[in-house]
Amino acid sequence: MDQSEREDYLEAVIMHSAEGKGAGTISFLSGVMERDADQVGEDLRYLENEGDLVIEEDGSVSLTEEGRSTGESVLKKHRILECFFTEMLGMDPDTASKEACEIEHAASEETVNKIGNLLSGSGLRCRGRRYGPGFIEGNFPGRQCRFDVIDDFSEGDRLKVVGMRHGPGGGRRLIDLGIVPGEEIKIVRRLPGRSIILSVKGSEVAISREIAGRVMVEKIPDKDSL
Amino acid sequence: MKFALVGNPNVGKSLIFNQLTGIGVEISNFPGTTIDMLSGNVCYQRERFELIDFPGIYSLEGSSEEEEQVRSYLRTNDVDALIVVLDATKLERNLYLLIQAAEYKIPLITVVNVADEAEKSGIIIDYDKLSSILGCKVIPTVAVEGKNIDQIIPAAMQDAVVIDLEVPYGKHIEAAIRSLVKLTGCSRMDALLALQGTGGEKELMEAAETIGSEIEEEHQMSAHQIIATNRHNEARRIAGEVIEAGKGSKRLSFDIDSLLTRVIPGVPILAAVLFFTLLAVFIIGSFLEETIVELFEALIIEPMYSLGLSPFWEKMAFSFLIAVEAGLGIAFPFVFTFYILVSLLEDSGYMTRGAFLADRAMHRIGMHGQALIPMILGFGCNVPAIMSIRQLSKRERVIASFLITMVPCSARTVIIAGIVAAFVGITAAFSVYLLVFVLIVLTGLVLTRFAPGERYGMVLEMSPLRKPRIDQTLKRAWLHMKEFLFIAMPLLLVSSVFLGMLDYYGILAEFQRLFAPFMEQVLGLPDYASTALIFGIFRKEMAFETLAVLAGTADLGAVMAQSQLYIFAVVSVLFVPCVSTIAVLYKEMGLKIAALVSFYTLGLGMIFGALLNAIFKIL
Repeated sequence: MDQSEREDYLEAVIMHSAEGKGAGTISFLSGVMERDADQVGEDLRYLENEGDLVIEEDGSVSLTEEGRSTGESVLKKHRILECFFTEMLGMDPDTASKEACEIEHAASEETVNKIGNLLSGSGLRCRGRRYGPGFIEGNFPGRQCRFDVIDDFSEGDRLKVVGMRHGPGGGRRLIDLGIVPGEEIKIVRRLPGRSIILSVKGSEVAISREIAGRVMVEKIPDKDSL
Repeated sequence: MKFALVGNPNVGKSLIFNQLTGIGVEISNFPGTTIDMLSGNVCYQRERFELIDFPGIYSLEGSSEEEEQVRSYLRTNDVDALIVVLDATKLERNLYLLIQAAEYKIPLITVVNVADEAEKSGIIIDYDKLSSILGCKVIPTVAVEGKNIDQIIPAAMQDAVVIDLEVPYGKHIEAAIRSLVKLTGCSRMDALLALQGTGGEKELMEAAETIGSEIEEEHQMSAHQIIATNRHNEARRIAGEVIEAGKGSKRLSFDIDSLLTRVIPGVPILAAVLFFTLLAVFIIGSFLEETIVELFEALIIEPMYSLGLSPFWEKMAFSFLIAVEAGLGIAFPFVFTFYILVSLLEDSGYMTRGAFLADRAMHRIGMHGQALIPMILGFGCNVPAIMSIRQLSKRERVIASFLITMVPCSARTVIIAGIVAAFVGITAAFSVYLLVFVLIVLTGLVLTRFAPGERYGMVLEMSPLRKPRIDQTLKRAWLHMKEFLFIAMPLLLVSSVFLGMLDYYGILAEFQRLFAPFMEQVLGLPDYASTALIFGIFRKEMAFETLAVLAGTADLGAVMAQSQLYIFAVVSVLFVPCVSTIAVLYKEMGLKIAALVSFYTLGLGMIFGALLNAIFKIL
């Protein structure tokens, strides 16, 4: 078994335990790894010999100290890479996750940490939390790993634009209409699950939902609550 | 001397142009309707000036067709003075364009329009201060009342100056500009444009791309974003200095707006508005058309026959006149009525609300809110509708080509009214519409999955709600109408004469003999119906007239069964778009799409005709 397979197993076990499921690990793993159960059993016994994990009597798996630290480090790399791909490069989440799965084994911890620094240094936030190298909580796959966008807010909210994600069309027009970093905008109208009207620089601009999902913003607290 | 008006959409630029030149031009309340540049002459103190009205644009550096058009004009032509028109109610955003225009180093003056509305809503602008900050003449105007419009030309002649308004773009961009200028010997503006990905020379563009990507890496923002942000900041600074917020009443449109842009009652209102527009056209159109056709028959066609021309020329004259008759019979009662109503919706600013509400529904069929307007225009005539889809992305244009072509235009309304409503019943007529709408939606649902390319979302500035002005509405309706008259009509005339020749030399009869058994078998229609359908390719409503002529009676109910009439109407409504539509599709979208759309609709018409025939037989 090569190193990347080993890492994939350890990553999968952590992911699984994070979801809070106890038993049935072999069948779960065979699903994730896309292998039959016999092969998975064999691989697990190999990893047990290597000292990465312990197979319990009921067939579930628990990690040793060493296995856990290797797994967590890979998972962390995965999250940071995935976040980088979706948020900075504007890739779609599925491709981002797949690519992250490949690169996580090859990239060194140092490289990935640098990318993590870039993410947190750029002032972009991940659902209220600053995204940095120390971040490892949350569900898998990291769909929650995204920055607040107009689409996350409701009618009447006042927002400050912090950035814009890449995407097809529309971008330049948004910028020309004044939706640029630092600009304060307000959601004038929001139809349930649909398009949004923004008030920006004294005029009203209607945008589609996918556009609203590309403009990264932070909320300006209401004056009353201050 | 040559002057040019430049400004955002909807600032009243066209209205100013009209007042200065007196030529009828479209005044639009829907962003981006004046696609072509207009040019007119102004006389002042016995001198003649050329005045150009550019399409409304938000930026001189964007990539939309209008923006490119204006940019390339300004860069290649000598304009003696730019007249930059700003909207006083949105001064800050409008200044962004002025800042860009200033970089072209063309002498300019500034006109601040709708000064009265700004004042009413509590925006007090210190025009003298604005003038001293910008370093150029500033004229506050109220174009609707013609106030101060007379000052514009004298000012453009005497006071236009190159203004020195260099925005500081930050050290990185400035350094990039300097190195590009050194490297390639271009001007500051060339360098700025190149950094934003627009401009000419290969060498410059390559250098700019390298530097641009370095900047992007460093800042996490594209050079264009940084430049635009700095310009917006400069605009904000200027606006902040000259605007004193005073007390003002809220805009009148505010409360109505909150009704129009909610799901309830907004969507029912939108549906009702569209339904009653179509119903009104249906009723008024049918009534007027009958009168026009009767008059035309009595006054022109019959006298033509009494001239005693040779059979060939008689046929030609008839083909020509019948096309004119149908053109008039459709153009004025249906198309013009429709465009007047649609222009009312556009001028009042309601169309943008409709687009906003329809956004999600339009997404389902592969487009977005902005495509609503072309779809609605399609009810008048498909030709101008297809010409108005340029603002959409490639993918959306492909989908729109199919769907717009299926929208029952005025000519098809004539068939539905003349055949189904008259001989089968009004409910049946509505069922034809329903069938077509269902097919449009289904086609959209399927195309969303297969159309290639990426979808842009809607980014649309909402026009303020305004009371439409009769003269502007009529002018706009006339402009829509002109596209129909000058693009669709000539094609109709030519194809009608061509068809007349085919008929004269017996080619049509041959054709009929060939296809009649098929028509009989599959669609259950009499042999002359196939000829009538062929006529329908040339001009939709001609299918109806030809059917009447070939059947030898206008009382179609007497010679064909109701089911046959219904099938005939459905097939000719779905069946291949008319020649003019195919021509415009070819011009705008290329041969492949034009052919695909034609074959698709042909297939659709045949399949549904056959299906209905089978169903009616069983019943």
